Amino acid sequence: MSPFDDDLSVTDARDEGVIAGRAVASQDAALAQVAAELRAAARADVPEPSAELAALLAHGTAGATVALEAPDRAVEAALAEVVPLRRRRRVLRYVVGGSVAAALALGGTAAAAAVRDGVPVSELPGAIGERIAGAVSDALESVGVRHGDVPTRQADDPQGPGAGTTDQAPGRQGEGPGASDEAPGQQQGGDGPGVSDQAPGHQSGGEGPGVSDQAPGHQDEGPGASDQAPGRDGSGAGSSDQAPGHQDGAPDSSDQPPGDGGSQRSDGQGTDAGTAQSAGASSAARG
Amino acid sequence: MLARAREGSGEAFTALYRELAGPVAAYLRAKGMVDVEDLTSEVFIAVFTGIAGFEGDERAFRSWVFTIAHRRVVDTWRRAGRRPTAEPYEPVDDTRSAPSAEAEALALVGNERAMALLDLLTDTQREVLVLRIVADLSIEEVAAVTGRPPGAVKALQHRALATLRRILAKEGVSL
Repeated sequence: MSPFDDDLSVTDARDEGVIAGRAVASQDAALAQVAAELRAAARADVPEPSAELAALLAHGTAGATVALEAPDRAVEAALAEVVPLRRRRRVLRYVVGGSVAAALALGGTAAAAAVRDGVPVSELPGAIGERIAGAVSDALESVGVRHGDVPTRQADDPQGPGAGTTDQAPGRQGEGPGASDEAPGQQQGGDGPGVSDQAPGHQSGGEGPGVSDQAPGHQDEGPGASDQAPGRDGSGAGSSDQAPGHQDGAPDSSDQPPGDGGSQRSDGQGTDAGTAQSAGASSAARG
Repeated sequence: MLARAREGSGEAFTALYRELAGPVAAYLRAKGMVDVEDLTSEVFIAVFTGIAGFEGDERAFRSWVFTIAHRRVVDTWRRAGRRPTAEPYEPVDDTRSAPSAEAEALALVGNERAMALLDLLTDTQREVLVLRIVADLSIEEVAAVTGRPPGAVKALQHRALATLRRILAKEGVSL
């Protein structure tokens, strides 16, 4: 240790003595007294706590915890309400998304099949719809559900011979004409069965009115069918892209009549419907 | 006591507050804070709400409290948009060392005289002396609180004490 270090250590010791309030050197007595006064003054001067701090001092953090638990419970309750809602929305998204995906897959498959079969482009939409309907029908049949098994309004309310079946066919019907889904138009004079889905057109003079959506009435000599049958069919010989029923002698038969209309009765009344001279058919109708 | 304070005991909080609130207030006052009471409460609210995460002994706790107080001072300066600017010391311009100021300080008695003598020091010297004397922190702890090297703290302390010695010796103040 050099003399300098020794002197420094003496100085440090002297300063530390003053800081501690004890005089190492006699000339530091007044300074040590000032330090002691400072220390005493600071300890004696305790400021008043604020209201928030006073509550903390009185109750500790336990009191603060009680105050904080209420909003926590409120948040939990809010979460409990939100989570099931989110789950419901998630399930709904899955259902909707799955349905859309299935529809796209079905449509794509049908479109591919139609193109492969050489369907003209102008008739492609109808062909696709028909194929989709066919696929749905096949699927229903595969699980034991046939068209005739599905009760309909019209089936519950038979309207003479040859009446076809329909779903929600409020249309006015003469003698066993077809019915129309959302089709308020008149359909008069039809002997034949058939139902028109979305066939609002007025069909007068036709002996065999329309064929409906999934209403495959037997349609002998029922020439045509109309897609959504909007027009006025004077002789009931409308034409359609999607009138797949068997139509003997029908000059304007459907482009894709896949089935034998006579073999697929919708409600048991279609066997007499072969007298229909004309028939309109709706879209997606499949014999 | 510190263990009970970590558990959130109000009694432990009160005991710690009684022990440290005065030194903290003195430190804040020495740093030129105006609303010392409110600032002291803010410091201790921060201390007690964060004490559960504190680890260390009572020495470390004391240093931690003054670190929070120091940061609160810095925040106050920042909010006020004014910070103490470091200017070269010119003894001629230092009115605090004028004989009148010294005489006024020495004319006081007791605590007031001690506080008036502290006002004759520079800000940094006063800060170091308060932390050393009032807060009872070591050189290293003061260095940690203020962010200065321990050697600088020791030098500031030495100069502050030398100034006070000179004033007291000049005026012939005796006990």
